[in-house]
Amino acid sequence: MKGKPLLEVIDLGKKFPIREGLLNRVKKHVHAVSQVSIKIYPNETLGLVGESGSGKSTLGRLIMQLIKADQGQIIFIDQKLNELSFRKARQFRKKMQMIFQDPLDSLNSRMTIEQIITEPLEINRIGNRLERREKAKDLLDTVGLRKNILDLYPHEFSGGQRQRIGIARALALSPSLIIADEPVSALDVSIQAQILNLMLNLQKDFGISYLFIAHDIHVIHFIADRVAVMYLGRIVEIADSKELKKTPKHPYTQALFNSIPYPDPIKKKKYQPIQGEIPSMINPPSGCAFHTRCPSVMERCRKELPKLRVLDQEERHEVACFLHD
Amino acid sequence: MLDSLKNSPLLQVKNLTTSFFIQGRPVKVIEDVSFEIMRGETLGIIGESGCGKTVTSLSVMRLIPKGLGEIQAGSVSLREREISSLPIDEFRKIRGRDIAMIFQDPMTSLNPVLSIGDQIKETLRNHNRYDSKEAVKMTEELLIEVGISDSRSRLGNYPHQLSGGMKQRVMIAIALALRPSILIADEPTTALDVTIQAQILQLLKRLKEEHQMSMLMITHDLGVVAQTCDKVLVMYAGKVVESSFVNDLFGNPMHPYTLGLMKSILSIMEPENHRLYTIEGLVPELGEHKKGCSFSNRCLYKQNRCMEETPELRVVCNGHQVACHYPVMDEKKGVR
Repeated sequence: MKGKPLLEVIDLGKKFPIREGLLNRVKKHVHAVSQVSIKIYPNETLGLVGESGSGKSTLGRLIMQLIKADQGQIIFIDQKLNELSFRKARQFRKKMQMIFQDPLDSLNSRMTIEQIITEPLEINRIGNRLERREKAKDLLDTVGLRKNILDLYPHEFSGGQRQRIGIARALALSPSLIIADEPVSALDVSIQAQILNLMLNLQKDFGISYLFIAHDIHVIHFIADRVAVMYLGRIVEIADSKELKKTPKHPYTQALFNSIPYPDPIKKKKYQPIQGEIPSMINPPSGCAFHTRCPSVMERCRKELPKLRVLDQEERHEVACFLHD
Repeated sequence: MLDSLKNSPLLQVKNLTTSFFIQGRPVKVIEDVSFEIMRGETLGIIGESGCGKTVTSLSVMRLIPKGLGEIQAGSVSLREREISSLPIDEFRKIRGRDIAMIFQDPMTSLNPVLSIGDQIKETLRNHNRYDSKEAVKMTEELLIEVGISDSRSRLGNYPHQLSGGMKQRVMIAIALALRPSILIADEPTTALDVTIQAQILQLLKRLKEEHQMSMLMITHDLGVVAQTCDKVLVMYAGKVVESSFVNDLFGNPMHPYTLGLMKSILSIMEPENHRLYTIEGLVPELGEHKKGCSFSNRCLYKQNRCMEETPELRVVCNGHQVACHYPVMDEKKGVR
């Protein structure tokens, strides 16, 4: 496809134990991520879309090594991250940074902007204090903020500005991959656009790859080259961004596109919303997890689990659904 | 008599102005907000965070916390009866019975230590409509009406046992309990997933039609406005900057801010090139008093006059009102 992937995730799985009772024994598990395989190529954006509880944030955290995976492999710049010691893994993790949804929660309110942005440099013992301060100024300039704000605190900024500070911090160690977990969903539309444009510019200038996690399929379609759709801990469809919008194959992907109210009253859609809610990850449904809500459910879907299958020659569209078997 | 009622607005808000006290000094949060809602009609108020849309609804409901702020001017009439100056005890009878409200975050607006059955019954009983037995029966019926199927077993559930979508359904059931003629919905689907949002919007639409309810829909989402509203107010920095029928607004957005919002959302939904339309700059801070139009620092069409004179809301055509010295009239600049 495009040479060697920067990041390859193979068959990743994570269950969180639930302890109950007098003896605090593990009684049940939350199946957060099951059998997920993805690749991200250099200078590429992979979009990860799904509703709350689909496991998309857990997947981001697993890749970041913030949580340990139960099974599967994470290969980043040719290193099997989850087999390295914590100290060794940190060497490679430098090249992987994260941006969070709520820039107020993810910036320490007692630290100045300088302290926030230079902390990653300090931890990795890069430069002296003066050099780091200069670097911080450069980073602020890169993300479109004034350089003279270094001594201010996060609460003195608006949501969009705070997200820019979060991005500056993520850029401090010149990462090759940024995992962005709902970076624009707390922002107003006009501010969203500013942040998305900034992220595109940074990608062009520094050749960064993004794993862009969001619940808004239009934002994902806009920013991503390829899109993976997650439902209840599994990837149900993965395709080129344009292809996915043109011909979404999985009934869930179709529902995601159709559910969004279109901003023009003339184009009123006669759309029947899919019924029901996302099932519990503690007792995921048998067979295809979407069968409880699927408008085209068949007998087979209730018993067998559909595997991700390649649909076209160039292997760019994969779907896990018996309708396309 | 009936005819005159039909043609007069159900709810009329005139020149509503509310201030919050910031460091002891009143700062106007909304200024001169006026609108009318007819029977069976849905009016949308759209704007970004901090534009005053929620304060408008809280002012109508007289829910502005004492000490934090107060309504400084304006009137609210329900069926041609002035209600904003009623003693609060009198007004309480109207709140819930005639005008009900649902909020954005059903997680925090339900009482965590009362079962949902008790919370619905509380509303029914507080207004002395039903005795205890009747109230239980009504509660079950309400839950069925909002799409909670196993209603009897759900009565004893507590809010934490329900999903976000379910909680919003319970909120709607509470709001509907006294068959209000107006429902104020403040960002009712913002905290919900898109597939659940679609379900709740469909539910609200059905209930509105069945009960011939009027609705005030407060949202930041142009899609929600387009698909649910008859008329729209666009708010910016505490003021109404544009007001019209929903078709006219989307057909010819006249205020540069409205146009900018539409272009931003459409450039995400229907991207033509890999570039997003943005409205540069930021919303002015509360109480930041400046001469001229409050949008002028971000406006692409501004001229000298915009920095000097504050534009008044005026009718341009067919009831389409705009507060702009140089409204966008060229259809080609529109979004369709």
